[in-house]
Amino acid sequence: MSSEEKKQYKTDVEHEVALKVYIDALLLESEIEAPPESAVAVTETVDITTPTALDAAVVHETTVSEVIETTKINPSYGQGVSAASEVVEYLLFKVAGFLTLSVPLARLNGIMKWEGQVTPIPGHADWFLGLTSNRGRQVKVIDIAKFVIPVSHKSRQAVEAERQFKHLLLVDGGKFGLACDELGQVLKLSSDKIRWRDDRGSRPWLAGTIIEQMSALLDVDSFTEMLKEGVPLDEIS
Amino acid sequence: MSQSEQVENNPITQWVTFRLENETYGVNVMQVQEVLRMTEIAPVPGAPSYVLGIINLRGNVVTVMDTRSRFALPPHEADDATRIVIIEAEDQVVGIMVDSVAEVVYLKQSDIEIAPNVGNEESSRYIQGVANRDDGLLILVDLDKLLTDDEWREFSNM
Repeated sequence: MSSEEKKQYKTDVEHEVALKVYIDALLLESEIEAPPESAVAVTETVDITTPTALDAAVVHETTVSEVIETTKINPSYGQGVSAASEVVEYLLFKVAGFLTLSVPLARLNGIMKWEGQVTPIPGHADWFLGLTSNRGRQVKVIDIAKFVIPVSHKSRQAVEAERQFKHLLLVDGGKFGLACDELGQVLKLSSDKIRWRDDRGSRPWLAGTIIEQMSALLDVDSFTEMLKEGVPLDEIS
Repeated sequence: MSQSEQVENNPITQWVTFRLENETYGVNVMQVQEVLRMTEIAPVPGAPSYVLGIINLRGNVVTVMDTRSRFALPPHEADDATRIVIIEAEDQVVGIMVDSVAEVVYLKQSDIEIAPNVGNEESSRYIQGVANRDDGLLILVDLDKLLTDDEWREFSNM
């Protein structure tokens, strides 16, 4: 195994661990965030399956299906707002030289170095840079700045300018790669350090703002959902 | 008429004045919370053109309005005189960026003329009135009407 592969392997393992922690955290959250009217049902589920309900780390995988079932019954679960005491890791990254975005680390499937080997596919939206491959799989490369900065906004000039991409953040199982200029720090934050958006009718991909760093926090699921809706549409036109 | 009756019929209001391009504007002092020097404004992705970005005001996120864009004025590079006026409007605390802040003036109700309601509706709806002063016309801004209801809603949800 080359050092590069070792590094990749290490990163994958880290992500797996982070993902496990994140899912566990979500499960814990559904316990804490349960609205009063459904609190009884949830407590029952938890009592039966996890005697030490408040310790997220010991939530066994066998309980996942049961908790998820409860989740389906009540749509208010799992909205991404963690309990204040929980700490989640977020990666900051910069796009277009001025915009600092962030994603929950556990939602990333990996980070690729930008090699510039992106095959443009004509006739698509300008935010779809083209395709690249990662370990034999095709990755749709997204210029996230072009996606999130409206054409009419005055900062768009910086977005249209010559850009220097350095990394691709892989999301949605590695199907999409978000091109970024610069990777920033990883922050461990409790939920109260984030201003969550209440109304997500517009820009559902924006979960909120990391207050201290004033960084826009992406809702990766909503974002990839929109990408998926957007890309085929472009393919038709 | 006694003096107190005069005051009652002709109340005095205080206005914080600021400059934008070549004009002086006034906003009701009761709605002004503080005035900040220029600070780092973080852009908000997907924000409409009248939003400059957000600032961190002692741990609170405050959205800053691009007042120049709203007033249909050309953009202006921030300088030493640039200020962010933190105001309260429509139950929100927001920032408005201005070229400079001048002073607090006292106006009698009788000094304020209702703004002529001509021209396009867009630009005149937030002009509350005008007051003639020695150093020129002071344009009084109704902060609540700077944005439409929909825009305020969007603004609160940056």
